[in-house]
Amino acid sequence: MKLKALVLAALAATTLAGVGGPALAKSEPYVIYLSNNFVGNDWRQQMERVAEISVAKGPLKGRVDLRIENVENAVQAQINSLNNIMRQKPDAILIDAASDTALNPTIKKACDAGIVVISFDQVVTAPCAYALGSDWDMIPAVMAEWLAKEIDGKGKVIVDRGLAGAPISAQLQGGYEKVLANYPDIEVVGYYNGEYALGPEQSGVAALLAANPQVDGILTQGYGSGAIQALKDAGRPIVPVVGFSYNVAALTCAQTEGARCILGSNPAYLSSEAIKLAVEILDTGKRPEERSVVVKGDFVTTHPFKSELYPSATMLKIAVGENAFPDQPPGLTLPITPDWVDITAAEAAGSN
Amino acid sequence: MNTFLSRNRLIILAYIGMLLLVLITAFFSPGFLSASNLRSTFILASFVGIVALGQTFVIIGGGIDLSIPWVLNSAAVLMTLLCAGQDLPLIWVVPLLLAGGGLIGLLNGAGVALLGVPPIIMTLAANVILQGLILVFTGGTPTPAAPDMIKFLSVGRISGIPVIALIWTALTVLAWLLLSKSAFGRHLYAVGTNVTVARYSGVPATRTTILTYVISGMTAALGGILLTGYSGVAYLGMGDSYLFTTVAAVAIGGAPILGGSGHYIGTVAGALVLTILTGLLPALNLSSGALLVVYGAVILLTVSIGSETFSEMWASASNRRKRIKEGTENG
Repeated sequence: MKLKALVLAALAATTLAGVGGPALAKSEPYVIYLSNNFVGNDWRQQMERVAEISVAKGPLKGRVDLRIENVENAVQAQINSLNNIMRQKPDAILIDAASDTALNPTIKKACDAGIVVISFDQVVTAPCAYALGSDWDMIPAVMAEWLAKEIDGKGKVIVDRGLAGAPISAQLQGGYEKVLANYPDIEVVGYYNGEYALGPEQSGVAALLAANPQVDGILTQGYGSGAIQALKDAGRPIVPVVGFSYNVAALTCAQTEGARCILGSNPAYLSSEAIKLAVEILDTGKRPEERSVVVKGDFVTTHPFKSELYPSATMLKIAVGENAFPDQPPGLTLPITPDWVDITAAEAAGSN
Repeated sequence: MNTFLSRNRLIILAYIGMLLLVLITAFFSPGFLSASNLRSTFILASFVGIVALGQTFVIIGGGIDLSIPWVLNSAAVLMTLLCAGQDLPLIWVVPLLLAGGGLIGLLNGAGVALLGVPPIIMTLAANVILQGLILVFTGGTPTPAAPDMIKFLSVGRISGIPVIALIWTALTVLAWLLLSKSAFGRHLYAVGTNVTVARYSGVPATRTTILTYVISGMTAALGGILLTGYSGVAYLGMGDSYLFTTVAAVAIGGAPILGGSGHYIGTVAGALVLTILTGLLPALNLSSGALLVVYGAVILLTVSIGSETFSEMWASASNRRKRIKEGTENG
């Protein structure tokens, strides 16, 4: 609930700044750097695009001079880049981090120099930096609860282990299994490594379908659409599927006869939220009490439900054209836009 | 018959290994032998097999192609971008991309054969450069879905037979003709065995080496185009796993990594072994760490059974048995 209050307060602050006009706000735009350690996937690209769009329109228009610095996927490269950024004396630095600890000494230097530091997505542990991200406890719990209810608390399911050795994979898998353990009649009959890519998901599920004559539900950490394709290929009934909210997943769920899906979201607009948080701190001088700031992305689902574990979880029913876009790329992350600015799917995809 | 056996011992071993693996997998995974699963296994093996075709030629010639992942990935991304979900543009897009893959191969081959750059460096550099170019070119924009025609080619069926199996079979015949029936094939084995000797014997060594990389570039591009049909989309990183699998498929198929021998017929078995293995491992319900260990160990084991040292041990053991039988040595 604290988060909600925080988001509301943030919203109010932005609105105030907007209403109060330039008089309240600093006349020069804030210089905000975004340091990104990896550009090799669709999510990171979308994240950078929505960051740029959210300072080009809406309440932050003209208020932020956003400069994005990409570094290759290495801790040392990001440290160098951060040192260079600090020399430019920006107002704030936003960091999608290569390591949760290795950047800490550099980040402390930035904080000491009076720069507002917000880590987002892959966050850091430095106490002076904010950590803005999705709620990785809630997301798997709500989805596992949904699946358990869809199959009436009994049956055989298979679980995606993600990528071997990745902390987020263990967290998601653990999150699924912790909730499933509340249902004694649900049995996990197999695991596969989906590696957050469609190919491995499809072949992994196909292998487990061959090994298990009965599968009643599939908990993926990836698209979910690969699992549905594997079910179709094997001529099996389309069982409830848990996945993450990419355009291709939402479309597959919407367009497959009898598909039941819930898709969790790690919205690419975390970057926009980080920018907004930075502007609020710079405008008001007031800092959030907690360094950890949670952004809630809506679940996207064919069958919305009320979670008992997390009653505050919000659901969007999949609707083609509204939150699933046949004319947009499959790799687009949903939902597209935070509620305080209107980013279109085409803008987020960079397709116009 | 005996010369056939001894000449192709490694390839025969690879097929025996494959059959064993089929039996083991069928035991642990009751649905493995179902028509739908065999079909999906075969489709997956086809991608490995097609991409590994070029790698086989390169390795027989004494080189290695590490640029496969991003040649594959680039072809996949560009195909979806240029076609924008439509079938019609494929008429020019596919030939263009195959030519593009061939061109990358030509540059790789020229670097190796003309400039003397070690194959590992040359092709690794090409891989990284391509990765960068594709990021710059696309601006990271996620790309449109694969055209329906490509989906048909990679997962469609003609009277029950996967289309891609037909493509793979045709390519296998082509590779067999090239390796076993053409002058290029004879030149290739000569170059792979000893490039200096080959050159003195009048073999066009430079041209032969360059051609292997051209073939590899083209099959990687073809693999990328077809693989896009399997998942329906092209995504960054989709080629990464094909570096290890192509080299492993060639090695399991009995080609020594230093070149000079081996055959694509062996690689076909290698591609099947690797794919069946990825179907077996999830059925064993191992932890993800153990899974990787077993995957690596099986490949290592399969390859080392076929290695030179093992074959010498094999040969000397059987010679010894022979001598004992003839009474020239005491047991």
